[in-house]
Amino acid sequence: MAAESLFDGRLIIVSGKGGTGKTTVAAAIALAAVRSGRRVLLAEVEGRGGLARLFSTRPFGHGEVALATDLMGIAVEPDEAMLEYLHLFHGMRRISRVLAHSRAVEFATTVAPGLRDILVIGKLKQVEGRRENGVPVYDLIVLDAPPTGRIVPFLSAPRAASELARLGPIHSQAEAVRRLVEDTNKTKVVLTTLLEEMCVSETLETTEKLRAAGMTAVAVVANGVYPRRLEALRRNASASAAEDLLAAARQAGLSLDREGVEELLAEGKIQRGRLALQRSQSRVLAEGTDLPVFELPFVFAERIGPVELEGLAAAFGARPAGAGRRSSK
Amino acid sequence: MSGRRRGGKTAPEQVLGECVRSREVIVCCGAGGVGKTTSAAAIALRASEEGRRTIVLTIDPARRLAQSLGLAGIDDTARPVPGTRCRRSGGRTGELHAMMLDMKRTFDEVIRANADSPARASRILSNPFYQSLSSTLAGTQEYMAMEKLHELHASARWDLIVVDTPPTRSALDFLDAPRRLTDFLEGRLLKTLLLPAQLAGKTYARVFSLGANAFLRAAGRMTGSELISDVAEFFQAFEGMYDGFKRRAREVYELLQAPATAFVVVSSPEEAAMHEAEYFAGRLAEERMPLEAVVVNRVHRVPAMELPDRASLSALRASAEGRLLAELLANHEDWSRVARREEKVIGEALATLAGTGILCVPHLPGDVHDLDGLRLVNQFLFG
Repeated sequence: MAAESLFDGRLIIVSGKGGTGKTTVAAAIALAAVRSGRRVLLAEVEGRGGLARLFSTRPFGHGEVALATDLMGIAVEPDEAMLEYLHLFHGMRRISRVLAHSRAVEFATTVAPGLRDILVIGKLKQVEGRRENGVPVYDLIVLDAPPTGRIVPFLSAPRAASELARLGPIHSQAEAVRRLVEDTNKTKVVLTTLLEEMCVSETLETTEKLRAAGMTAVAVVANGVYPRRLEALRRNASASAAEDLLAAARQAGLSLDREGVEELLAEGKIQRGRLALQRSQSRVLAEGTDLPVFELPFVFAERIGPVELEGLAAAFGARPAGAGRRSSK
Repeated sequence: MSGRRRGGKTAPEQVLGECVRSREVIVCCGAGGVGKTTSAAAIALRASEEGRRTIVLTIDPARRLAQSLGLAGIDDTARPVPGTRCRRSGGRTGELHAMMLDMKRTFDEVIRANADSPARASRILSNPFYQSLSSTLAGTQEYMAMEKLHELHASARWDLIVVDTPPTRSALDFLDAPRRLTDFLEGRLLKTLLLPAQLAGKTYARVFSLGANAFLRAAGRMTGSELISDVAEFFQAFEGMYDGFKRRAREVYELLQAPATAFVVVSSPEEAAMHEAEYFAGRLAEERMPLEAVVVNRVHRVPAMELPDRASLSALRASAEGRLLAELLANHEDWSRVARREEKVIGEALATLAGTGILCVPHLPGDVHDLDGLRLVNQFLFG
C-alpha cells in the first residue's frame, strides 16, 4: 500500500500504545499529506498541548490555528463541542448558556457513556462536512487519537450512542458519525508501534480487537527504527578487535586511545543488542499481521522540531512539495 | 543522578527504600507508555523481598503486568507470583501477589455488596444505562481502581498494596475519580434527574426550576425518552446506596493523603511525558498527597569523549576495521545527542520538582519481562 491511498480518505485516525510517539507520527502523516498537495487539519483530543509543543506555536484550543502552510491544527474540547452542538443543531442558545453555568456539561461529558468521545468525533464529522463553494475546506483530517487501550471504546462510541438513544436527533447524528467512522474508504485507522516486544504485542492485540468491533486498521507505523549498522561487530568482540580498531584509528591519523575504543565497543554492543531485538520484533509484527508497515527512523537529534518532522514525513514517500498540487479553493 | 544528594537531603534511592519498607500503599502514576507497570511490579517485588506481604494491582487492559511478571494470564483474583525470593522479616515471610482489575466485574461486585436486596442489585445490573456506564464510561476504570484499593486495604491481608494506575487521558482523571463521584452524588443535577421517575407525569413540571425542566425536555427531545427513563430508573435504583459510595470515596481520598501512602510519579525522558510528570507533581502537592519519588525510565547516558573531527573520518573508509570504527563513532555521536536532549529535559524537571528526588533507570538492552529484569531495574531504583 502506498502512502497515497492512505491519504485518499477523509479521516486518518492515529492510535498506538502510549510512548510510541503517536503525536509525532500523526504530525508526520499530516505533513506528508500536505506535501502531496492536500489541505490538512491535524487534530488532538486529549488536551495535552502536544501539537503546540511540537510545532512551537502557542497553546491552542477548540479553534483552528495555522501550524504550517496548508496545515491547520485544532485541540478538540468535549465541553466546547457540546455547547457548539446544542447551538448548531438545536438552536438552544439560551439553554446552552444555562448549561455552561451549571455543572450539566461536566455531568454529561463525564457521566454519560462515551459522550465525550462522540462529541469529539462528532466535531470532526462536522469539520469534515464543511464546504466552501461546494469544495471541502479540508482534504484530510488527521487525528492524534486516544491510545490503543481506549481506541476501541472511542471508535465504538457513535455506535453505542446510536443504540442507546434509540430515536431522535441524537440517534440520527450518532448514526451519521458512525457511518463516517465505519466507512473504510473514508476513515483509515493507523496504529503506531515501536519494534519492541510489549508494543508489538499490544499492536497485534489491537488489530484483533478492532476487527472484532467491526473496524479495521489499514497500516502500522513502526516508529523509532534504528538504522542498520554495526553488522561487522562480532557479538563477542574481543581484545584483539579493540587492537584492530586502534590500529585502524592510528592508520587514519585519529587521536583515539585504547580506553576510548573500549567505550565505543561497549556502546556498539548495546546497540547491536537493540538492533537484534528490533529485527526479531519486526519479524513478529510481519508474521502477526497482513497490514503494510511504514518505518520511521529514530530521531537522533537534540530536539524534535520542524526539520525533524519533515524528515519523518519523507518516510511516507510523498511526492516533493509542489508536485501535482491541487487547489482546494 | 543515582546516589546524588542535594542540599543534605536523603538520596532518592533511600527515600524509595524507606517507602517500600514502611508504607501501606504506593501509587505509581504518570503518562501512558512510560513503564509505569514495570516500575510498579519492580517496587512490589522489592517489598516482597524485604519480607512484606505485597500485592500489585494493575488496571491496564493490555495485560502488561502479566508480561512483566512472565505470567501467562491474570484476572481479578490475587495470584501468587512464582519465582520470588521472599525474605522473612519480623517473624513474617514476604509474599508477592498480582491482580488485574476487571472494571465491569468490580463494579458489579460493588453493586451486589452494597444493594440492600438482591432484587435491587439485579434491577441495577440489568439497566441498559448501567451496562454501558460500567464498561465504557471514561473514569469508571479510575473509580473502580479506587474501590479495589479500598477493598484490598480494608481486608488487612496485605502489608503493602502497589497500585499501577490506568493509562488515563490525563493524570487528573485518576486523582479526581473519588471526589468527582462524591461531588456528583451531592450535585443538584442528579436530584433533578431523579425526580421525573418519582413524580407522576403532570405534576413534575411545577416542581422543576425552569433550567432543569428545559434541560430535561431538551434531553428527551434529543435522545428519545427511553434513554432518559433508563437514566432516571438507574439513579432511582441507586438511591440508598449513595452514602456507602460517598463514604468509601472519602475514605480512599483520605487514604491517599495519609502518611502511610506514597506516590511515585513515573516518566520517560521525553518532553511530553516530563510535562505530565511535573503537572502531576503539582496536583499532588495541591491535594496534600505525599509524592516521594520521580522515576524516569529508559534514560540514555553516554560518557563524554573527545572525538576526531569529521574531516579525518574519511580516511577510515580504507579498511574493514576502519569502516566499523566509523560506524561506532556515528553510533556514539547519535546517542550523545539523545543523551544531551534527555539531560536537558530531566534538568528542567528537577528544577521544577523542588525537593523530590529523581531516579533514572537506563534504557536496558532488552525488554523487561521477568523477575530478573525487574531485579535489574531495582538496582537503579534502590541502589
